[in-house]
Amino acid sequence: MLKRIIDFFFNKRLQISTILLLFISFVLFIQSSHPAIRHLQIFAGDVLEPVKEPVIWIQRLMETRKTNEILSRRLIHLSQEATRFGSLQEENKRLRQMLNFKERSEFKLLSAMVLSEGINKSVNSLLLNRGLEDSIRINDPILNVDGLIGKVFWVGESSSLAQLLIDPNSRLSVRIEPSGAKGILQWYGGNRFLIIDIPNTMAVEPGDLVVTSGLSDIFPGSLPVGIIQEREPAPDGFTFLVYGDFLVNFNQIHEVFIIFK
Amino acid sequence: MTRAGFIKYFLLVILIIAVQYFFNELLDIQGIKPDLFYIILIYMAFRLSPVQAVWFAFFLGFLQDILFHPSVLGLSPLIKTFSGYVLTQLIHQSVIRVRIFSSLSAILLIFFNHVVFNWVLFVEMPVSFRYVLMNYSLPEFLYTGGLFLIANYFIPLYPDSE
Repeated sequence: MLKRIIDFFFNKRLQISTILLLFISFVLFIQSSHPAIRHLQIFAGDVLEPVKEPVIWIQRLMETRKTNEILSRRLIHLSQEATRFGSLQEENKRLRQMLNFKERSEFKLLSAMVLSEGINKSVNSLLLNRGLEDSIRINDPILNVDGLIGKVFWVGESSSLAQLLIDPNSRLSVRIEPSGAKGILQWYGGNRFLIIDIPNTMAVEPGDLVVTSGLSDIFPGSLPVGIIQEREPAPDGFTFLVYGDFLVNFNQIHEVFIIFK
Repeated sequence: MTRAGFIKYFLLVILIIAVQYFFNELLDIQGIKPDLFYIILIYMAFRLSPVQAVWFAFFLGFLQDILFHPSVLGLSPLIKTFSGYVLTQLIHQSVIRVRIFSSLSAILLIFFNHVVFNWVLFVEMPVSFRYVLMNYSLPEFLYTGGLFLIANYFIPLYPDSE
């Protein structure tokens, strides 16, 4: 009897292995947000971080000339902007004092390098070279010079995982300027987003700026997110479906900033 | 497989994983990257025993998710294990020994890999299957499939014909 059982398992070892491995994969997939799985991912990031960093450093060094040219151009542009904003800031300060407004606290930013990104265009998370030892916490917002990118969704000792706004599971509470309309933003493929729940009484137009609403505990208000491109009536007849493009080019993220709250 | 053969293939697998991991950006064309892991899987399935091939496919998929898509850990091993099993079954069919059929089967599996992977990710999104196919699955398939055909031109799928 025992021999027959052993023979059965031996003869069917391919099918049994396949079913077992498919089952393990399925469990991993549905439990991928389990803390033990996250620890495993972060452990891999921590182990690979010292190996990957020098390689990235060499790649960046090779790109330095091109980057330098882009930065020089941007510097000229920014210096003009800085002059303009300098005078506006002075004016703003005076007006705030007059109105007894408290000065808003400045963000504390920490730069981080992208260690790895996905192979598939549709899986949108990044491995960053900052972790607990840099005082990074889960849900710290991530941005670059163009706008909001996402948030930290798991932290290891020396690396962390970032969830991007272009992740199928990502949702963001946003405000559309200048109308002040608030809605929920989600990725719509490519560099496009969709905002739902905008009342059709609000004056939302193409070209309007989308910023974070400040209603969430995670993202501070007024961080730039994107530009409205088009709108259409929602099937419910009371709201608009608003489509727009992100300000950040998610295909070219090399360095990011993490906001300490 | 001889010991020398094992070492040769082991080093080759490590090399290709390293290329995908360290030079991922250089492989990028308009945000599309090839799945070199899948090409390794196809080649190794023709060189390993069926049980070895299925386990290899699982670990390759697991490693890929850990390194590249931690947010969907489990999806790549699921698809690759299934593909590994299908490949081992196909390899036992005599018709696949004809080069054109073996390449065609591999190409179809690459297409299956990209379609299923993206479909699972987008299943809850308000986008059509056609959109996902045209913008994600098809470009990724063409890139990976193209690289596979180039590799296949120089390196035959069956080790005994090398």
